[in-house]
Amino acid sequence: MIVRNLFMRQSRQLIALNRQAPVFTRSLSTEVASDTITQTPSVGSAEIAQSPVEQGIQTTSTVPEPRPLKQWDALEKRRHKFNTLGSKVQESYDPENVLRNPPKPADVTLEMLLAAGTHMGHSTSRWNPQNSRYIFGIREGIHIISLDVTAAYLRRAAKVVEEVAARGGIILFAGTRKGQKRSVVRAAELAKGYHIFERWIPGSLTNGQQILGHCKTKVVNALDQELSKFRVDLADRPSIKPDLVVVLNPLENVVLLHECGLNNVPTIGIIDTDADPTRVTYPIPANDDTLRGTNLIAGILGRAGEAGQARRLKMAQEGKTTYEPITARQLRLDPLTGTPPPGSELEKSERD
Amino acid sequence: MARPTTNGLAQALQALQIRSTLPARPVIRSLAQQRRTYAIEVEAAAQQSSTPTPSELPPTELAPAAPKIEFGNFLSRPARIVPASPSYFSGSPRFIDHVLELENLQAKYASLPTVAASEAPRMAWFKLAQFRDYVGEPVPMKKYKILVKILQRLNRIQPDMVPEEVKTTLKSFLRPGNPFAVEHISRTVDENGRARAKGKRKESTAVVQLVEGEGEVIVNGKSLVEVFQRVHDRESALWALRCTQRLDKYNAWVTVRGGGITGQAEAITLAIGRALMMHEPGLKPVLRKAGVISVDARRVERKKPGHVKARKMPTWVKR
Amino acid sequence: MGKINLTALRVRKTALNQFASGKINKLPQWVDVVGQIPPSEALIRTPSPQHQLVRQRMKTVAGSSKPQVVFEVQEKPRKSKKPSRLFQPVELKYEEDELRHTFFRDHPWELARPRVLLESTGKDHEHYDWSRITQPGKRLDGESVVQRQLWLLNNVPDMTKSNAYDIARREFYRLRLQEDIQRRVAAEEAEATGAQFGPSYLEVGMELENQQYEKWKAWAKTQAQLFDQRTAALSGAPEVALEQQSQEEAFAEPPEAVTV
Repeated sequence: MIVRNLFMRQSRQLIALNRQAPVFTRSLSTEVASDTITQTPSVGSAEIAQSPVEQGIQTTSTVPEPRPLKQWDALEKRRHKFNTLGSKVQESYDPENVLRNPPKPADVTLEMLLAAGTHMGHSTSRWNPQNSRYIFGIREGIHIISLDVTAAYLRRAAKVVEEVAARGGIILFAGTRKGQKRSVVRAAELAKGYHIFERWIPGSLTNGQQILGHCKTKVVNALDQELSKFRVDLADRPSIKPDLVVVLNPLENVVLLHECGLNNVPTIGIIDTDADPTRVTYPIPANDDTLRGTNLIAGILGRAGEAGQARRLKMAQEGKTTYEPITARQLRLDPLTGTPPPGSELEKSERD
Repeated sequence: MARPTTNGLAQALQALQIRSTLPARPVIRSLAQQRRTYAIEVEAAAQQSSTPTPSELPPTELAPAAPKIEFGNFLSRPARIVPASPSYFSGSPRFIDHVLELENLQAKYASLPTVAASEAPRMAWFKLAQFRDYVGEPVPMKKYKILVKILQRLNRIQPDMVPEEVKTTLKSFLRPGNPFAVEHISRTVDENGRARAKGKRKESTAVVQLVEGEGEVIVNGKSLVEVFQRVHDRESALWALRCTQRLDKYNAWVTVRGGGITGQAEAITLAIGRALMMHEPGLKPVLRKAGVISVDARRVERKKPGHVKARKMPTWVKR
Repeated sequence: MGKINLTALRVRKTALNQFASGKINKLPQWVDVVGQIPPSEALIRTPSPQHQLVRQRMKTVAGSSKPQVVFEVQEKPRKSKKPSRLFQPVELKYEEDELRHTFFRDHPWELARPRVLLESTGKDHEHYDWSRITQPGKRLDGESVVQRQLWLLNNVPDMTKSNAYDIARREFYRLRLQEDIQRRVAAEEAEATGAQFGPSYLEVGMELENQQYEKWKAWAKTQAQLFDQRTAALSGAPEVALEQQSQEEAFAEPPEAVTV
């Protein structure tokens, strides 16, 4: 294996491959041959990943080991210096990039979806025939999802997210599979929405007072600044229900989708070839088993939500709202009876 | 299935007029109120309440005549009720927010050098019950362990390089008081040459005062023979002195309470062993080997409902 | 509609109905949105896209001096007339599939080489020009041969499949040989300048095997000792002793020699 690594370095493959060659520490080691005193790290010293270059320097010199802070500074400086050297990496794939800087809905291309592997469905024996209109063909025993359909449905879903965000709706991003946490949190952060990446507690919508009753809410003005003077009026209010739910794995979140149905909440979901497309209001036919794909879709929807929120806040700057704001009077009323609470100033003023 | 329409409310109106058997008038009025696009113009709109709503005005008229907005009023007006935290729907938003914050910190400072876990400063994190009180949410043990793991990783950052942000965050997860600051006070023989020690076994508690002497032992004001009729009990009570051949060198004055004969005898063993260690700490390995300073923490297991004793089940009877 | 649950698709209608009947006193904010962007008609079945196998060839046609590009379409596979099969998706087929199958049948160990499956942008094919077998940013492998063969079939006049296969393979073998030589020379150079590669796979394997032998030797020794002790304990009985003696005479070899 080691031999092959070195060969990789030397062969013409690497000339063709325009990426930086990694330094193979083991194959280049001179430990056995050299007679110089090697320094063993003391017990208390920090575990710093040392580059082979530094090791080479240290073996020849006999200076005492510097403090960890200095050592680290030196390492950082050197890294900074060497960063500019060598060949330039172009078009490299960075898995973090889709989280850090997700594309806008307008920038979605079929190649992007293809590279993310959204076209691969499940084994043909596991299909749900309701998905037949999203399926392009069969290849190697699995269904291939039609990418132009995926792109169209994705743009439509993004538009819905944007519009709901622009109307000040509450958007919930749900992705409860392992590894979807970061993309879900990031999408919620972009769209100023809400996230859930662990198990959906059954009854959070249908029995909200019991399950979400202790969770804090706030009254905000049109610019999303909290108004603390209304904090008193928030007691005994029913729990908040989302206006739009985006589910990255509808197969595992049947309960959530059922509750959304009972509470009449529109839903967006990634529908693989084995899922039921009628479970969600806006299906996005795509592969829900690839994290790269779900990260991409969540990122796109998050970006759409970001655009909608920006629009809403811009209107609020002008003193307008696209939705009917709750009035101070409605806040003061008893949430259960719809009448002013007895003994309050509101009741007195109404009586007068 | 819903067909595309420009205005859903128009459709609702139609549906209402066709199907509804209810008195339609009030509902229609409320729908008409809804038809406005809710574009609110503060002050200006309020003053010109007789003029048509902004949405009905042509846009050319609206654009130049943008009225001054009195932001003081607009900003103090409530618009929406929203959850305070983005993890509202998880049911434990404060806990999830803490975890996300810590994970962010960990990712941010991942490149900082760390020390071994044994070198890191000792920190007393919240116990689970304390943490539950702190966040005010029912957090399961498993999830709290995940949080503590992140805390420990952050705590392992090279001590002189810990960022201020990390320091303050870690501090907020410490339980009140510093249990690791309590110094262990080693007990010694008092000025009168007495060594006082306690021992427990089963339900019994023994307090022994050991002084140098001729080998007299008084238990609850009586002699050893009166209290323990069995030789075995007497042997075991004084086993610490016997195995170190100090039977005739110390006087013991014992008070023992609770439990039965065996329990009392073995509680005295432990107490005398401990007291002897105060006089002669060098005897510790011998006493350890003799088994007189090891605490026997076993207690009677409680009886359970449906069982005859702690674990015994009632015998099975056919019919 | 029987089993199909249409609740999710009818959210807007339900909201309007609830509002009209007074169940909710305020229409949700999304009602307009869902009205403007209606959910798709999910339950209508459409005939699945049909795929044909198209072959591109350069052929000299009688009457014209220059070879022309000819597209050969494979006949449509006989479709099942059954209503249940009418909307089922169709198998996707490409010309390369056959070529790929042939190549990897002839060179099965090519499949054992490491291969990069990850695509960064999905536009890698735009940089490839299969008029030559090496491509920038792509390792030479079986797929190169297949693509090169396909290019030859599509663009060279009167090319047959076996001819194209031979040409592509020859180029491939030459480059592979060149790589091997480069590798060997590089290793020799490195060793000459003091590099140590550690034990090879064979050596590692032999070492592991030796360890197992040593373990077995230790085990066999204790087993032999136990056996000896058992026979010695029984040697008090005259018949057993006699038997043992006769056995020892029969097998002159000492037991240690057997175990080692």
